[in-house]
Amino acid sequence: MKKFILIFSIFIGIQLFAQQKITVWPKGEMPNSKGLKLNIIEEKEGRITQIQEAELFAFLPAKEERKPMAVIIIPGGGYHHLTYNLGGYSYAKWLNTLGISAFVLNYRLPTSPDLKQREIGPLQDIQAAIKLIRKNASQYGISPDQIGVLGTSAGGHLAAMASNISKDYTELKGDLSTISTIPNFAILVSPVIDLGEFAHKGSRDNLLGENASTEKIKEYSMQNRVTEKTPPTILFHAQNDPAVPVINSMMYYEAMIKNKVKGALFIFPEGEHNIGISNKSELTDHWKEVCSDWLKTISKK
Amino acid sequence: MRFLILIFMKKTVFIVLTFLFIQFSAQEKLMFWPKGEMPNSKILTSKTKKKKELAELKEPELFAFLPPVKERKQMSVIIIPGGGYSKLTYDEGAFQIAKWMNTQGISAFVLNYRLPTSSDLIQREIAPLQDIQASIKYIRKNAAQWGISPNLVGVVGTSAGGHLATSVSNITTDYTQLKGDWESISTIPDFAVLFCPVIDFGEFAHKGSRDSLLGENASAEKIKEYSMQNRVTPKTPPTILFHNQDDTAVPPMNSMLYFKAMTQNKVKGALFIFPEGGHRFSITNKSELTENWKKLCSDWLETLNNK
Repeated sequence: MKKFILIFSIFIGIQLFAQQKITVWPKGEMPNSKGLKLNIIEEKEGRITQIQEAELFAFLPAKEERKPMAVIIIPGGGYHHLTYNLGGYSYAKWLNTLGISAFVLNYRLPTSPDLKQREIGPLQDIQAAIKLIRKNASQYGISPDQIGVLGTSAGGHLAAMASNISKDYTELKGDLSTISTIPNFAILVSPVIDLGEFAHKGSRDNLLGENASTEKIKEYSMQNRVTEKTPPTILFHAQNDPAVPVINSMMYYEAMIKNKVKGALFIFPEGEHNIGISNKSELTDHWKEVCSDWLKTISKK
Repeated sequence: MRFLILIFMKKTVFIVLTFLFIQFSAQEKLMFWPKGEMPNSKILTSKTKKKKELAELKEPELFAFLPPVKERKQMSVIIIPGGGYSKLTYDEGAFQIAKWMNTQGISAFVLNYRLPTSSDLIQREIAPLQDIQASIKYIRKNAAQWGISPNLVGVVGTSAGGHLATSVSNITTDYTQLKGDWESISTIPDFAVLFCPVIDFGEFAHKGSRDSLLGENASAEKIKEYSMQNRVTPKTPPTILFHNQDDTAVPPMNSMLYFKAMTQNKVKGALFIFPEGGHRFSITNKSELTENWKKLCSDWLETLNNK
C-alpha cells in the first residue's frame, strides 16, 4: 500500500511536470505592454480569449525516449482566441509519443487591450519563446538546433511569420539577444497564409485591424515573405476547408519551390478545418505518419 | 508409401502447371481495336495496303493483370506508361504498379499506345488519345467478363502518361470513330491517379513531351489547348496527384497547376508533394517518407469504392 502510494505520487509528480508552465519573458522585460493587469478569460472550455502574458506549457517525453528534437506548438483561433487544447495539448501529447519534446505557446492576442502595437504582439511572443527554449535546451536534454514550430490555422500564420521575419522584435538584452529567432523547421496545418484575396477575414481583421492598407496586407501575407533562408516546411490542408481556403497552403508552397526551400505539401480531399490528432477520415489520419517520417528526415541532418 | 508420394508428385506438378497458367494469363495481351477499325493509320486507310506493310503495323495493346477472382473488387485501372511521348517505359513502372494494384484487389490493364512520333499516323497528336479512349470503351464493354464494374474504371498515368490520363479525363470529343454499340460507351474515366504528371506545355513544360506530341514550333494556341490545367471543368473525374519537389524532369508546378484548376472547378481530389524522390514513384522506395504514397493511394481508392 505504501509502495503504491509512493508510485502514485511519483506518477502525479511526473504528470504535473509533464505540463510544466513556463513564463516566456524574463520578469519586467515583456515589450509592447501598457502595463495593464488582465485576467485570463476562458470564453468556453478550451478557448482562451485573453491572457496577461505569454506562457509555454512543457510536455516532455520520458528521458529514455527523448530525442534531441523539440517543437513549439502555436494554437490557432483566428487571432481572436487560443484553442490551446485541441490545437495545442493534443499535438503535444502526440509529439511526445514520437520522443519529441513539445511546448504549447499561449501568445498574447492582437486584440488584447494591453498591447501598444497589436500586430507584432504574437510575433514577439513566439520569437522570445524560441530564444528561451534554445537557451535552456541542455536543461531539457534537447538540441538548440532542432527547434521547430507547429502552427494550426492562425497559428500557422504565426509559425510562418516566425519562419520568415528575420527582424528580432523581442528587445531582449544580454545572452538572449544573440540567440536566433528563426525556427529550424515548420509544420503548418490548415494555415492562414494569405491576408489578401484568399484571406480568413477574421484572422486578418484581428491581426491588422479592419481597413488595413493594401501595403500592410501584402506585408503580412506570408507567401510574399519566403526567401531561400526559410526553414524546411511541411504543409497539410484539406481541399474542403471552408474556413481557410486550401489555396493558402498552395501559395506558400509555390513560393517555397521558387526559392528552393525544401519541404512537402499534403492536401487531403476531406478534413475541413479540423485536421487534428484523431480524424474521421482514415485517409486524412495518415497525415501523422507522413509528418513523423518527415521529421525523421529532418533530424538526420 | 511410394504410391502416395507419386500421387503427391502428380498433384504438385498439376499445381505448378496451374500456377504457370495463371501466371501466364495474368499478363494476357488484349487487342482492343476491333479488327481493321483503328483510325488515324496510313496503312489501314490506304486503298492499296500490302500484306507486308500490314504485318509490320504495330497495333496498340493492353496487358491484363487480374487478381484472383476471390480477391477481385469491382474497381479496375488502365495504366498509362510514360516516356515523354517518344517511348514507353512500360516494363519499369507500369507492370510494377499493375502488380501492386492486384495486391489491392484491383484489376489492372497496362496500355501500350501508339506514339505520336510513329510514321504510320495521319494526325500525330490525337493518336495516344484515340488509343486510351478506345481501351476505356473496351474495358467497359467487357467488364462483366472479368467481373468488374464498368463504372469504376480509372486511369493511372506516369509522366507523359499523366498527360494522356488528364487528356482523356477532360477531352469530351470521342476520337475513336467506333460505331454500333461502342458508340454510346463513355470515354471519360471514373477517376485518375497521376504520378509526376506532365500537365503544362507552357512555362513548366517537359519540352521533350511537348515536342513529341505537338511537333516542334507548336503555336501558342495549340500549347494552351494541350496544357491540361486549362481543360479542367466541374465534370473532371476525381483525381489524386503525386509529385516530388526535386523532380527536375517534370517540375512539381505541373501538379500544382492541375490541382489548382481542380479546386477552382470543385473537382474532388488530393495532392501529395514529397520532398525527395526525383522523377519517379516506385513500389519499393528508398525513403520511408515516400513509401507512404501507397497507403495514401489505396485509402483514397477505398473512398471512391464506398460511393
